[in-house]
Amino acid sequence: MWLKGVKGVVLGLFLLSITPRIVLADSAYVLPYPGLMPGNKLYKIEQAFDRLYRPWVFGNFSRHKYELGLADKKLVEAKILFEYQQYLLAVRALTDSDRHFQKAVYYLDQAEKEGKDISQKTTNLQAAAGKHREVLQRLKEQLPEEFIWRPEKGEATELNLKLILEEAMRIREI
Amino acid sequence: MRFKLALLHWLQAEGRNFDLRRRPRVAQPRKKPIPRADSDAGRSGRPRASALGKASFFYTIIYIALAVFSYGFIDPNFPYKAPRALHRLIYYQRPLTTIIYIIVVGGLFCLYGWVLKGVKRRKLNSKKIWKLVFLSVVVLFFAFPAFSYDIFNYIATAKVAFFYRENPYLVMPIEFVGEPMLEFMHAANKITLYGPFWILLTGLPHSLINNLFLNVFSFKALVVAFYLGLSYLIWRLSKKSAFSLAFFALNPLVVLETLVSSHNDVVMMFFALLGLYLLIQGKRPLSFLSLLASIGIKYATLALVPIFFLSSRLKKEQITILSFWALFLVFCLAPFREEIYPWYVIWLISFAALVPERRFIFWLTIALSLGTLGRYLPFLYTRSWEGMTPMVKWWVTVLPPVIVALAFFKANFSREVSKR
Repeated sequence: MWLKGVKGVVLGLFLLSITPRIVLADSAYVLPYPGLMPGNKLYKIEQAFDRLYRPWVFGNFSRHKYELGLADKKLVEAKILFEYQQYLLAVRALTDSDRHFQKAVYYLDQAEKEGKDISQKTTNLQAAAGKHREVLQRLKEQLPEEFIWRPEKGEATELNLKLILEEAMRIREI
Repeated sequence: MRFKLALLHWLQAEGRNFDLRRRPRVAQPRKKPIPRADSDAGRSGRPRASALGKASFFYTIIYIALAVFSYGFIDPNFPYKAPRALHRLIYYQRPLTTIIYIIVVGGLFCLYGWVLKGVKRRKLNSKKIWKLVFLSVVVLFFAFPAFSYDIFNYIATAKVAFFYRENPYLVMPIEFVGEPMLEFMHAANKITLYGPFWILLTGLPHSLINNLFLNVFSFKALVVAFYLGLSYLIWRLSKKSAFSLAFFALNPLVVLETLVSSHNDVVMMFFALLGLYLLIQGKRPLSFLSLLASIGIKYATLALVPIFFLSSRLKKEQITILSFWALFLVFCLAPFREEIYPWYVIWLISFAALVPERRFIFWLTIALSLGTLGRYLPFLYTRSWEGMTPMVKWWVTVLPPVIVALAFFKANFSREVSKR
């Protein structure tokens, strides 16, 4: 009798495992391909190009788009680096992403002050923030709370990953 | 016999050339008067309508009809409405619209041929062609940009850059919620396709007027100014040839796409030909600067850079012919980007006008002008860019130049055979 019950539970679990998982928190916002990663010989050239491109970007909407694009790119870069346990580089990329995200919010505020309708941009920014938080939450679940980065040469760096990720999530709360 | 002689006298008095094959001529035929461009008197001595008068009359009729017809194409969402009858004609009586378009374009081509013939026979000189050019400008300036919405893209781009102060290469017009132009624009979801120099130039008509309907005309004025400038350059480069001037400035495609639809291709070609003019004058740095300005309008003239670099080794005619073929190559590559648009032929006509004695280039340009203007026909008939429209557009574009190419091939082949 109890065997029938076990069979039922196992069958139920099996059926549950093969049915598509519904994740209500997933955002429709699509993050970009990160491009070149640190360690690539052309990475610095890409960084220089991003900086050279900056003066070409004028206007608050343009700057908002530019900064949000960089925030997305750096976040994906950070995610991949975390996954490959390159924590120091990952933290740098995440800090860059935080900075660009804050600038994206700032330029949107400026656009509103100019009298531009920012409703569509705000919706998009909220979607981006949602997606960012989703990625950061997963990272928070996967990563250790603290990590001491010991390079072959030089001093060790203590990385409070939990704090860094929580700060990044706080920045993205709109 | 007496009756026949009387009839012959009467016919000769009427100025008709009558050939008596069987009988010898009784009276000496009059010497054919040398046609003069400024002659207003007929053979009988009575004043008659000059070639200019006739051309002006027919051009005025067609242009006025075209200008009126063009207002029917106003988009229903445009803030200013088209007259109801015209709107109904364009949107609901499509076969009739197509026939009117064929008559207008056919009429313009007939007049074009007649004017070119008149110039060849020296009935029309440069002064008279200039008068016809100004007539075209004066009447068609008031036409609505019927066959293309590009002028609204120019206006919207200028608005993004100078009113909203945003980079039009990064921000699309559709991103400005509540922008009135979004209701009728056809390419609001695109960043600008034009060069930075064009955007700078559009700052002028944009800043002059703050009214959408009047802005259409301020932008038209900019294009018209460059049309006149380009016509003048062609006239100067061709050593003040009335034929070259007429070949370019009165070409129906140039007239429709520039004076009606206001495409900026004449602006790009103005700077390209100004570069050529400066190159011939020996002012190389200035000529390169002008070419750079041309590239800064629409990029297509980037193809001329190697020719300009090699110009010291080439003659003027060689530069012109090479430039024609370089732009023809860009023209042929257009489908890889989007599609061949009729106004691209303006690039070719601008250079072809400088070498009208090159028969193949001459006829190829005419064939392309005719063929590409035919690309509007399936849309006018169906009001759809899908279905049979792409196929018809392809055939009307390809067929005329292929016919010209085959005709030239046949003529060359026959000549070779007869030589042997």
